[in-house]
Amino acid sequence: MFFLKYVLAELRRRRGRTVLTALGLGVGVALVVMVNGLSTGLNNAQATVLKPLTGVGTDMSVTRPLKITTGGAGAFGSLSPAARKQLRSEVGAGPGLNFASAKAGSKIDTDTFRAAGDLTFSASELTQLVAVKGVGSVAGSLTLTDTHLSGTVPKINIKQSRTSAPGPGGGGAGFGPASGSFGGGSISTSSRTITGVDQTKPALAAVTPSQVTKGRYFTTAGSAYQAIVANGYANSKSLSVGSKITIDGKTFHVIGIATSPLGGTASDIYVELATLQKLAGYSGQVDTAEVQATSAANVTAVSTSIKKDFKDASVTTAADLASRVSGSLTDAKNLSHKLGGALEIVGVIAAILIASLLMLSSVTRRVREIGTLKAIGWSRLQVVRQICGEALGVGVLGGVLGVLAGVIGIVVLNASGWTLKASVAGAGRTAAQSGGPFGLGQAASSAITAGSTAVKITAAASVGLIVLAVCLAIFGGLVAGAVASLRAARLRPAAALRTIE
Amino acid sequence: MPQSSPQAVRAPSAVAYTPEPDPQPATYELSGVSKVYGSGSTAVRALDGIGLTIARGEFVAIIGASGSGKTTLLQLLGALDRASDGRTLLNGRDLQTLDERELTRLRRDTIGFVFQQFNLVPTLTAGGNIEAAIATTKQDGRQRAERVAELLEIVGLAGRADHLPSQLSGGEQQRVAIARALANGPSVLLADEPTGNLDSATGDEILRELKRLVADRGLTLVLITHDAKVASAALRTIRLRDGRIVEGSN
Repeated sequence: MFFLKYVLAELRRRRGRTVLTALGLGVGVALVVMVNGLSTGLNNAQATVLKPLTGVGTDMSVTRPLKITTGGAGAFGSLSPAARKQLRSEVGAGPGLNFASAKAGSKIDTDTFRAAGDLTFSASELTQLVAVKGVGSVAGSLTLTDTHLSGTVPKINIKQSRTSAPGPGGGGAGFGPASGSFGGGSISTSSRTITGVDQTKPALAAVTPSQVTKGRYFTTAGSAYQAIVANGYANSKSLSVGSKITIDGKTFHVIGIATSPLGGTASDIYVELATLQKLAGYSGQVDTAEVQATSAANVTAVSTSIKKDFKDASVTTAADLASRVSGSLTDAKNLSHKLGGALEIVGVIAAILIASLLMLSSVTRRVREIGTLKAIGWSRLQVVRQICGEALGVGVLGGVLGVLAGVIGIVVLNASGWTLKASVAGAGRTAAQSGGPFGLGQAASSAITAGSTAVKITAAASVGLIVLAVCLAIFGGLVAGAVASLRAARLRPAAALRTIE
Repeated sequence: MPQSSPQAVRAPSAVAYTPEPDPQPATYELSGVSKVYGSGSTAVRALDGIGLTIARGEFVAIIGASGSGKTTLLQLLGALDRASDGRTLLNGRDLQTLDERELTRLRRDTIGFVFQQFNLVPTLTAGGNIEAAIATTKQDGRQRAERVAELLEIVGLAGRADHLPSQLSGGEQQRVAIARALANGPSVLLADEPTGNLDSATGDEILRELKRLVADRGLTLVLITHDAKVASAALRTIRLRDGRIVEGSN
């Protein structure tokens, strides 16, 4: 085909012009590849930070937090009546020991479980969640604060006299000041968080197999008394795989040690959900539902549906958790988001402009040639096709050069080991947690681990991006070709032949 | 403004030139043809009321000083430009009435151009330059290749098909240009100072080649030259001055 032969001859023999024009386009393409690659790298880095926040397959967490109103009196006064009622049923007599009935000098060793902050709800509600349109899978979990009391009951000697003075109630006789002493005993208290996980759905569980750094994950066929302990807790208690821990008198075997990465939802101990429910007297109750949507695009709609259908439900999506991440990573991500697109557009427009000018300049230098072609019978269409063909070739070359430059840029960037800092603000499971009625605060609850970490940025260019970049270069070449060929097509052959080159 | 003379002047060598009676129309019939560039006070009248008939198979030389309108006339004859006024008939068809597509077809099928500067595409080989003219037709690759080989053979450059213009001498380049002009079997050959960029010997050679081709193929040849020796080779010489055909050939 002569057309192709002529195009290739032009590209090959006018090498300087071809390479210069291709480089013009290549700069724009390289910019697109690098900015996109960097953006992907920043996204991946952020995802790395967010992964522990969201779990491997979890799109959102559904809880039923305590509702707190302002102006209430007393520890529970700020709770809504409904929350107060449920709390009362969950808390019962309250944590600790009834000293009035304890015998001085007797030994105590007891565990008391309380919900870690969110109200629990029946696991049967998980079935209703599954029925929500767009929900793919649901797993329940239960996080409790285990308050452990041990030691010897002290001797309590308290005396208090009645007085005739009005009491705090305003009328009648009151009580005088109390006096007395505790003696002979020592009681130590400690608390830890224990999360019961649905081990049949590890991807949605509060602790996932990927978090287990030593030992193994739960096996469905294994003992009901197996535990995975958080790395920090294991260190503080000198626990390792194979150690034994006691929870409410039951011996659990430590089968694995799990990390609690930055921003992760951390508990001290993870056991099977059914075991914890039975042990703590929370049979059939969970306090968190980890939900996976059928597709990422459904997350917002599913979140809205759940909030609408489930009274007092709080839905925390990955996007909500992402807002907790800050630091230079987030700054770079925001910069990339805000300026990356603009930079690409400006780069591509500039590249197309440069290529158009170079192609136009090339056509201007070939006016006599074009005039000659017209004189020997070339039509306008054939001239346009020729110039556009050459521009297309330049575009392909520009695309290849640009992709090469972009990929090299990405490789250099990755080799430089560029790291950014990601910080995650700590938080309890709910707002009620930190100022909740029990005053247990975050330390004793399952919480998002605060801190910061350096994240290595690994820019990446996908095949799709490369194809897009080459297409962009071809488009740029065609635009440049169209601009130049329109000028060439408009040339009157007589005027073109008069041109002195 | 003086009236232009439509008369053609015979070259000294063309003794008693009388075109043979031909039932077909003359190749060119021009009457009152003018060409004005620009407008208003900057208007330049390059041709002024040209009247001219060129018979089929005639070899005509157009001479004149620079700026006399030779090249403008050749461009009008070659359908590269349109006259500002008057009528230009080529094989009986009025070029003024043809649209751009028809003019392109006419240039492709009927007219062959040879330029002083050869005007070869520098990036194409000798064969490629000839093929550039054939590529506008519907011939397939094999037919084009055969035609290129045939044309190179005709102009004596059979072994030079793959040479770039920069690898050819001036005479060889002009031969390639002639082969390109003949590519689509035109009935008219228009040559703008075809020997102007060649040394005397090569110029003579090219002129002989052109005359041979005209004789062999019955082409109408219109040639512009400054060179009286070249003009003398023509059957008829037309002298232009200030855009008009003037009396006398020398």
